[in-house]
Amino acid sequence: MTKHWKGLSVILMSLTCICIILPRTAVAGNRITADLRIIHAATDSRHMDPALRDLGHELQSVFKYTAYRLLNRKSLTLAYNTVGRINLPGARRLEISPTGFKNGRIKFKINIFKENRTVFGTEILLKNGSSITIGGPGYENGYLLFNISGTTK
Amino acid sequence: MKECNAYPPDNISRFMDNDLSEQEMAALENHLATCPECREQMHRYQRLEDGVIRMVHKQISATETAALEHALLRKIKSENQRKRSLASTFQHFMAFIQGKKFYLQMASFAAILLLSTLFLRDQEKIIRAPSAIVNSIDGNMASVMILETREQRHTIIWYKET
Repeated sequence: MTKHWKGLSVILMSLTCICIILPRTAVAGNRITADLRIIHAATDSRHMDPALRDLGHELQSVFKYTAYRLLNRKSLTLAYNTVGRINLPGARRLEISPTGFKNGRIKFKINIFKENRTVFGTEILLKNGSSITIGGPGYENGYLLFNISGTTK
Repeated sequence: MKECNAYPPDNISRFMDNDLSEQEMAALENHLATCPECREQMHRYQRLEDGVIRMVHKQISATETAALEHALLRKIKSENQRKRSLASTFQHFMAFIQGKKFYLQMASFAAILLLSTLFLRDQEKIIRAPSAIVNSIDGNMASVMILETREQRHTIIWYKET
């Protein structure tokens, strides 16, 4: 029994030391995976794209649209302060750049261009492994939504 | 005593060292049996050799061995003292650990509990927080809204192009 206590104490002490020494920021890797989904939302029919199952319920809870279709999807692996790009429908372009990691959140700079003119820019702190949806541009009797998720290991 | 010139003194010395051929050894041995001068010469060499050996033995036993033995003993004693001191320190340390075992375990548990609480508190903050915190928005827009879903607190930014 004493041996078990000794072993347990050693393990617990080691874990404590690791927790103290290991900085939280060091947990984050030096590469970010950003997954971008281009979605078309409309009211012309009732449809939920199977590739949007994880997001559909959340979108339906705030929007009146009945049809959600995935137009394009791109996964980008980015180092900090590098820029990833994806072309959007209607001569638009989205640029995304991870600029830091703090308290479990990835800092992203996101810019949307239309005909090489910045129409929207934001800086966000995205929870690691979570996503944000940016929407609003009108497109083909509906609207465009850009779902961006970020993960670092 | 008269001198014998039958054999040079060097031959007698070499005879004592068994450094002559068998024939020379036999011839000189016969000569020594009959020549008191040469026998005396051989005895002188023998005494000289014995004297040198005695002196060497005396010097070694009187000085170097004693000093060496003394130094060796001193070294062994010092080494033993050092080992005893180390063992004693280790025993004291182990006794302290044994004595405080309960407190150390409790301290470990307390530390783990504290760190876990801090860690989980941070995690809870993140779980309950919105999926994204919007630091800034700019651009050429007519309007912008920030929404958050009720269940998963999914952040949505809705903007209207000009």
